[in-house]
Amino acid sequence: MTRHRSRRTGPALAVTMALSAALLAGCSAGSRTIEVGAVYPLSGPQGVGGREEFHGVQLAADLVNANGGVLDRQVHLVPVDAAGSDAAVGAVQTLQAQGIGLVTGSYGSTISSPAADEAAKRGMLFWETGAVGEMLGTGAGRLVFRVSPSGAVLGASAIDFIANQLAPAMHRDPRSLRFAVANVSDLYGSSVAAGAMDEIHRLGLPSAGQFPYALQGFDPAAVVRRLAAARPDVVFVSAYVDDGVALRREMVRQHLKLVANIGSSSSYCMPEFGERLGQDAVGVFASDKPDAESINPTGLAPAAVALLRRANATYRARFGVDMNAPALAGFSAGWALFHDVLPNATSPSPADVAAAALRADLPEGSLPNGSGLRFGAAGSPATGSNVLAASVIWEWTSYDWRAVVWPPRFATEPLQILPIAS
Amino acid sequence: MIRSRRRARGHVLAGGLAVAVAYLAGAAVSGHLSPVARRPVLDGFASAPPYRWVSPPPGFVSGNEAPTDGSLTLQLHANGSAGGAVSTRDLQVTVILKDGAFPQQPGATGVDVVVEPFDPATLGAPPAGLTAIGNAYRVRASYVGASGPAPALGQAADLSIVYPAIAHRGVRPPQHVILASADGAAWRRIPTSDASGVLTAAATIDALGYFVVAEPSSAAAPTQAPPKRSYLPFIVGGIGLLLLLLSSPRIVSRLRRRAKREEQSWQR
Repeated sequence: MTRHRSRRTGPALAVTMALSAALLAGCSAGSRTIEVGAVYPLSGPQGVGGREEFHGVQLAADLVNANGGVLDRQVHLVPVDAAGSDAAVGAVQTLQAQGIGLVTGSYGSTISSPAADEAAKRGMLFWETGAVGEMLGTGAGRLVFRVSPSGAVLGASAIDFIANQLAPAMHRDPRSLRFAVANVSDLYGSSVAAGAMDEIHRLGLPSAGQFPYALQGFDPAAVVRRLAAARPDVVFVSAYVDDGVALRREMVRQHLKLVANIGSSSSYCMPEFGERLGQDAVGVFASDKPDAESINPTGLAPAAVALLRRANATYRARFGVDMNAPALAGFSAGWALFHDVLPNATSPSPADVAAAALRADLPEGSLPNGSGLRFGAAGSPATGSNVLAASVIWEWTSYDWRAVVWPPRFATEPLQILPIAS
Repeated sequence: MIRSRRRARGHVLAGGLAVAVAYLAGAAVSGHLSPVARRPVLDGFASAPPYRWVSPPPGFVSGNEAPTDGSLTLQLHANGSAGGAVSTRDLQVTVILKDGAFPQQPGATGVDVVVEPFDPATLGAPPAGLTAIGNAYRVRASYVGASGPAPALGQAADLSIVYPAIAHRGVRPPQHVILASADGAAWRRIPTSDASGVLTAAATIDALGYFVVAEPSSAAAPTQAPPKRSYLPFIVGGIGLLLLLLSSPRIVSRLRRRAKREEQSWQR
């Protein structure tokens, strides 16, 4: 009997062992780790924000690892510096050459788009943590996911806030106001502006037109002259800091009288905006992601409040400052991937992680930046986008102080009706 | 020791000043074109614009715009040429020349300074351990209204070169260095200030000629798959292990049970 059994199991065992040997060859000392690529601009013009967002993702990995990792495996981030859009494709190729199939990125919309496309083309999963511009391409919802709010959401939120909150508070009928949109004509600016224009049309608001401009040869005085000729009451601006500041200065210099001026993430919400403009920034609004210092914890789930406190304390100990918007976006998106998606994947392969991402369903307020996690259904306009991503409206109440005033669950100060310079 | 440290500090200071001057001059030039052109004084947050390659690497051919040259005519006075800044029109290179940079020449009314891009692959190889990134540039000068040899720099000038955004592993960008060559054949490193925040290398130059930015050859991230591992040692080891395990069915069944547990734990 014993002899018979060993005759049957012998060849099977031999095959098993040969396969095991082959598998061993593919393993390394790091076989108990999950390697995740991190493509961010760590140098170059976007290096400051890119590093902050990467630090947030790194912190998320560290805290998940401190809690025991993902199913006993440690998350190991492999950073690649993509200082500009030129480097995005090479960065993804670099990670694939290292056998990495999961990639986070990338802070900048102009980096995100080519990186996401390249990743999807190569069967890799791309997890966008912060960029807001259109980037989902053919991989959207299949291998490409954006946890942060899209530019379209930020643009739409801005218009919605003016029409449904600010105008009524000023006893103005929003349909009596003329809305104009000025935007830098790159991927980021166009995406945000499209969201704003769509919302203007959706709400049936009078449009004074869209005024795109290129950075090369940008003439702020000419843009504002064109704007002024359209006689807008509300101007939404989707710009970077330099052009955003230049446009705001010109609006004041040309005495463009506005009921409201609101901008988007890469300019109007940045501390530099107030520092450079002084009083000319007061009374202006911004539509953006929240930061750790300026989010009302009562809008968060208790576990998210505890996580935010722990994460922010660790971040402050490491870098001496609170998590700003990019850092908190990176942390929240990283946490969602490492804590809420990866453990529910049947394997760490891109396809299985993507399937787990599509199953994720965290209510609003579950993540420390106020977001939930649910990706838009395939075929919908929000395919691959987190439909529960949180965005907020900031108000510059002083040249050195901006506060979250909307939505109420995250607001730290009430909305104020302040005169704006013109 | 102290002296060499002082000298090193002096180099760093000079380099820092060079990059600051070059940056401000570049900003001044770009400011003429646009307040938010390529390298404004105020730090922008827009991504770096696409680099313009003479000979784009694979993957950059589509959409590449040819780099441009730049030229400037400096007036000649009794003390030599007037100061000025010459940039390529795409602002990838700026050279700042001080008053008296070129000596007076009988009959000459000015000095033409020209900056032209070249494919570095058509020039000499960089020193061992370094890889040229981006275009090489030749800076040359000639007298206007007078024949004779090309004028030599009588005073040091400041040069800044924008380099392309290239993927690099790790969180710290590599140190970039400017290589200089009189004829484009043999290169030498010159003290360089690397402003990675604006993807610009700057140096003080004491002669015209060819210039290119280089980085350590080990810095660029590999995009090719790593060489395949040899499976032979593992197969030999596996056969040895197999023989060992065949002598102990108990070990085999224990290993199987553990593998099953691990699989269940990932799948939960």
